[in-house]
Amino acid sequence: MNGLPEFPTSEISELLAAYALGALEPDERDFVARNLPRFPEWQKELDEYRLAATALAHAAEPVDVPLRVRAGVLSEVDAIESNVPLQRYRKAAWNATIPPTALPIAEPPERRNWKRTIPRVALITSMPATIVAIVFAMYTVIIHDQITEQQNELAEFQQVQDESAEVFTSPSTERQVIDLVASNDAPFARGSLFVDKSENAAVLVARSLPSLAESEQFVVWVQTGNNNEEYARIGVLEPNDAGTAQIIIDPPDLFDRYTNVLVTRESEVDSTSPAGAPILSAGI
Amino acid sequence: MSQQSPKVRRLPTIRRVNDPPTPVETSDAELVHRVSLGDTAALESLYNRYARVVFSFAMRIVSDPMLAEEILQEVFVRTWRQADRFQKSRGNFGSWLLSITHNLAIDEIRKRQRRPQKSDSVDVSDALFGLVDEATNVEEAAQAGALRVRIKTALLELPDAQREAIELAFFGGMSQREISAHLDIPLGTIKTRMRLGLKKLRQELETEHL
Repeated sequence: MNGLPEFPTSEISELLAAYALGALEPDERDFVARNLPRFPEWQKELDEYRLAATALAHAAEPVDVPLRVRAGVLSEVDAIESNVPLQRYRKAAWNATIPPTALPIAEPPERRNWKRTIPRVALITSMPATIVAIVFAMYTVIIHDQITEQQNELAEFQQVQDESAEVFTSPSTERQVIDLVASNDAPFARGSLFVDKSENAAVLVARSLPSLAESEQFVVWVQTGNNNEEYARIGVLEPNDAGTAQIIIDPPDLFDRYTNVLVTRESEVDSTSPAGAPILSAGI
Repeated sequence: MSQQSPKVRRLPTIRRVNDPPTPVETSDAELVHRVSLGDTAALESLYNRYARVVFSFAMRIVSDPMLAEEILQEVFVRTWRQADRFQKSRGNFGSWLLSITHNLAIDEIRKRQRRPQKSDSVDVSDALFGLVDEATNVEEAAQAGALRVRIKTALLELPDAQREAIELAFFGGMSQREISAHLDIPLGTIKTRMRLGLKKLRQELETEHL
């Protein structure tokens, strides 16, 4: 006697198969889990079912893994090892890697003042064919413009992706994550700087950025020296609707030369040194 | 501007897949053993091998890229924390990892059934427009494509009714009783379909040497 109610073998097998598939009710699941250690033959049969069940996982259509998850895993592992409480990277990183230009929206074509260039009579007599030809031509131009625009966007996107991947996966012992500090002007802004000094590159990810006036933009700078001697303009952060943005930092000089990174809100499009309100900053 | 000194965390060393720190032929068990000793490079090797299948599997169940990312991250953090618990006798590492993935994903969809949907969920295409981790593609693509075809073929060998019961349970997170109610078929029939289907699938996979 094993202390269990008598079960036909097929019924045990059904329980074990459903257990492997995760299809039991909680009470049934507990029953199996409780009794598994007592019955090696159950465990053996369950292992067979599990092998079959987990093989099903490989049948799922492949989906590309976003790079940010690797950074998230490594950051969390690092935090575990350092006993540093760390908010999940993923919570900070949703949308972080979506370039605002990833989904281009085609602009409507400009209207052309074709009436002036075509004689009235000819226009009237050839109206139907002309309309068809013009519509066709405009359609061709629109499609061509859209394709060109999308190709350009994709090329830019690919470049950002390649550069970011380079930073994240480079064989470096000099990789750091630096948390950016928000200013009083943007107390809810958050940001991280992923620096790889051996590659002399970094990725700045910012989130919860405040909204901008139409003429304003967020500009990223790196600064040399301790007395604000010199700034190098890195580029413009283009936040998405959620206020999240990222930029590759490929500084003109060695990272070791720079002491700070700064994000400011600028109203001058081509400003060469920060004049607007600081938003985020950190020492490098 | 606040002038606090920034918090700096040094990340573990990361190496390129093209120039692996550990030979490609290093077994999963060996890598897991190294992970249990605190070797982050070994964790990355496992990540390169399995992240894509874990992510794809999680996506298949939860159909939500953000949730799937969360699950993927949790799976590998658990691998880090629990590597010493991995017992080779309970199956291979891949099965262990995918079992964790399955449990987490099913828990998520059951939780989701019990609570209102978040209104701020992000469109699938948005989340997938993030940067792609090519390292996981390189490592995984070597074998996974062929494996996927063979498993799909084995799955297609099952009678439709058995396959449906298995898929509703495994990918849909439904219990036998829920499937019975959903399909309006007696519970006993569903139980039998699952058992026979899984048994047959195992046999098919064995003939494929999987």
